Amino acid sequence: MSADTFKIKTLIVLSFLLIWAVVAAAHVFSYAVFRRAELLKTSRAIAWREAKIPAVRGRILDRDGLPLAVSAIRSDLILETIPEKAGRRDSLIRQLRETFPDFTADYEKETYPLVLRKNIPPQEVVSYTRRFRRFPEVRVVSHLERSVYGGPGVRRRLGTTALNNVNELVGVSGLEQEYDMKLSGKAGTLVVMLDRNGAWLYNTLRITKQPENGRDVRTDISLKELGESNEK
Amino acid sequence: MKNDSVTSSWFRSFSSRKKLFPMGAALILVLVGLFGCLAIYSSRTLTDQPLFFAFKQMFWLFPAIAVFLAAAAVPFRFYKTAAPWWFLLSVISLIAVYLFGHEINRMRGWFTFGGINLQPSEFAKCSILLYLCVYCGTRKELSFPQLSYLFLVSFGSMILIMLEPDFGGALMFFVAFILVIFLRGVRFHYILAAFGFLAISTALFVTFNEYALMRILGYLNPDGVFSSSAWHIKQFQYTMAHGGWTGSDWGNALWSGAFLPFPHTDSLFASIVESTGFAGGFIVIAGFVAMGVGFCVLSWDIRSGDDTRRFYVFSAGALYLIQALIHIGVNSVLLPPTGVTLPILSYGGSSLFSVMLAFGIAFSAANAKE
Repeated sequence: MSADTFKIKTLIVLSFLLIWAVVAAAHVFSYAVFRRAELLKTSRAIAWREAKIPAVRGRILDRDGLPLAVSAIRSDLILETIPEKAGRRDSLIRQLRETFPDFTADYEKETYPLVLRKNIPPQEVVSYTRRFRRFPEVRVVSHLERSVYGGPGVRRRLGTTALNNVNELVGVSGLEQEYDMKLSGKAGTLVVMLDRNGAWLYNTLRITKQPENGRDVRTDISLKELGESNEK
Repeated sequence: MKNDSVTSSWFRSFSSRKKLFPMGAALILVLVGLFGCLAIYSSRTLTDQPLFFAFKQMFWLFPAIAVFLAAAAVPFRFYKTAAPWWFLLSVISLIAVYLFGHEINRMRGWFTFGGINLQPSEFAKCSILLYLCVYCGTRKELSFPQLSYLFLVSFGSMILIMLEPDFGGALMFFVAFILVIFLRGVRFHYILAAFGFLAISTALFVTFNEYALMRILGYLNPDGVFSSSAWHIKQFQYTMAHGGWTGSDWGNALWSGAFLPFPHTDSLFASIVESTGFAGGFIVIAGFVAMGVGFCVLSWDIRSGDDTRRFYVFSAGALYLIQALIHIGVNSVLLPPTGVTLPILSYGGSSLFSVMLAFGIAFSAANAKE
């Protein structure tokens, strides 16, 4: 084959590839620059979520400053549901059996949500979140719990609390209800990006409004006078 | 005077492209490989070990460069003699991997030796290109039986890869076949017939692999009834939108890490665009085009009459440029999703070694004195 014929053939191939490259670059330009605003808007709606950060309820103290009612965060590990796709389902069940060999549930027949572990400490929260990151069906559910100290008489005066629909404690009776405005505080907000499985990407988490914790309330009750210890 | 003469002769020898080019090319390949490692790291920042794949790729990069230099130093006549045997070995390895291979990401395409995964189809791509060039380069023209034979060996190997199933890998075999027979010169209707056969093979592949059918339908109608199958296509668009003009900085390829399938291999270009923006994406495209043009110019310098060398040098550059353009085309939603890696940049030891080997052989062909 002559050098000229070879050159012409290679130029034909190169020209075709050059046109392809230009069209590809134009497509990239279209998405990265020209249609950027519209695509970003749609993508943000898909991936970013806003969530409330519950305010910590203030403490109720006795006359000497000893705590009578305190809020604490309690975390449970929950299996919300079992995945529909067979591959993911098998993979999740295998991982659950490896992690909890003593938990003898038949995952395919259980009713959901299923509590896998109750009241787990913070270090386990981190460990389980990492271990089950591919499976947002397994979540750590944290909620505020009110611990009350003192005998039955004190407890009756303090009253009770309950969680509302945004996981905040509200007073429903006794002093908890009387001082609810002061004890409640204001919830904060956060935004976070979700991945394709719906799991939170923690390094994208941004607090948009800090929660304002509730204020403490001092009462005229004296545990010392009543001869009661500040035990739960 | 003597000193001047020595300096001048040293300079002439050093600047002579035949001596300088392999070393200069090796340096460029190292820089491109390191850029790839950075891109791999950026695409994996959301994982627990973002540096894992980047370090592994860096670990393979320098031995791969050594392979490139060694392959460039071996005389081309050795490759000419070894081509049929290497190709035969490749076909055997493709059959063996289908029967006894290891499955990764639902693809039976790897052998595992002591924790190292080897993908024979990557090396087979390199061997078939060499074999086709040797076969066509040593003949003035191809008779119908000879063309039929080449067709059979190329499509036979392609079907072996489709069985894994790896449509993207198989497509590269077709590209190699078309490139070489076009350079050799065959009647146009034979090339059309080859495309017809590719269309039939694609239809069969799609029929037996439902996921491929859904992806094509999703590509053709992303907002219609098949919108759920167009998930990847939409994610590619969103990823590039996050890049803008200049990108969201290295290590911030959040969208590709969270939403793209295999961001460090099959979706690396979109991840690069997210990190470096349109500017970075354009440089990558221009870089690959420059590579293709470089190999083309190198092939023009080979004297007439040695078609094997000319064909191989041009085809090696063109084949990997086409692979890059298919990858870029998929990532920029120009083509339906196909699993093809970005040569040199994407994660994968087998892919890296096979590219370096192919380029090393091309430099050997360009430098041959025979």
